[in-house]
Amino acid sequence: MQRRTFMWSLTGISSLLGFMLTLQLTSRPPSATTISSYIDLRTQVEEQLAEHRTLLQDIAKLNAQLAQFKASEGNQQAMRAALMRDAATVAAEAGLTPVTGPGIVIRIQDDPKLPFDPQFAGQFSKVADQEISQIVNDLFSNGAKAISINDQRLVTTSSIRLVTGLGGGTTLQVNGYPVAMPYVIKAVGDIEQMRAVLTVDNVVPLLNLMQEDCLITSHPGAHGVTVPGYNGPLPGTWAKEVAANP
Amino acid sequence: MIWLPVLGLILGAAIGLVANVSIPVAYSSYLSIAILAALDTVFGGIRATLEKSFDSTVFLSGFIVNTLLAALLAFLGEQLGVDLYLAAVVAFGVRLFQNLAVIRRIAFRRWKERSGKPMG
Repeated sequence: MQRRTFMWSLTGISSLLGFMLTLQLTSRPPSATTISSYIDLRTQVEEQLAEHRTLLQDIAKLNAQLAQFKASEGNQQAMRAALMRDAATVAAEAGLTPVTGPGIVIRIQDDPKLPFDPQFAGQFSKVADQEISQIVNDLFSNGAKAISINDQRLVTTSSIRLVTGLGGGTTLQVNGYPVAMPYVIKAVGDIEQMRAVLTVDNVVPLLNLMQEDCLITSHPGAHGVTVPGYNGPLPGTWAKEVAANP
Repeated sequence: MIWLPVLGLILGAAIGLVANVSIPVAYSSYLSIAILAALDTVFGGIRATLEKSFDSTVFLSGFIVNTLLAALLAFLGEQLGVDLYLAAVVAFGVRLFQNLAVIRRIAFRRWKERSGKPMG
């Protein structure tokens, strides 16, 4: 009797068990992504770790690349700064930038009150270019770093010309620009040396002979004399180099 | 008579296949724990029968209570965020193997007794 009861109970339970098993098996999603066991989970973790390592390597590579790019950018900036410095130096050397410093100012102006010498009086207007050229050349060779005539900066391509007009009058042109009396020569440089050469050359007495007043003043302060930068056309403005292989 | 539970198992499986009922994935773990409880009960019942201490009330109530309790434990564990169903899995698993071991020993002893050889 007991065995019979057991068998029927077991049959009932077995039926239920079979039903539940089928239900469970058919209900399980067929997807392989389902983590059904510890081993699956571990495999997945290992895969993720491997992927993580790969990604870390990628990050390291990209960081190195980024550092390289930044370094090259830095080099370009440094090069650019160096080129800018060079350009500034060249501009200063070429006289394109205004300069200031201790120096002298020579002011030349007609002065009829000066003693009249028939041999020399009035000659200055005929030789002004030569006289002024002589003065600036002497100054340049004796301590002058920058010179301007009536605010026309003298550079390597500068010209000092005396141009005779149709009426017979003469006009002094510096850098192609006409300048009028009084002629003011500003020179930044060694004051003593510049004054010395002017004295040795007898500039003042010679000008005085031509009834020209020549007043030389010294400005020893750090900003004693300011010479403007050259603002005229540069040689390369119009004339271009002929290309070797056109 | 021994074929009856096997027939029941096949019948249950057939009903499950024919009915084509599917349960949501969320309840899958509850069902698996219930299956484990059922297996435990079946093997416990076989053991009790072999030991001649089978009680149908204990058997049936054990099946129902164990199944429900295991499912409840799984549900509670999910709510608490602790894998409490693992406790049921371990408990049922251990008992399942113990029962199997006892059944095997009894079956082995009977077979030895039948073949007339004394146990070592």
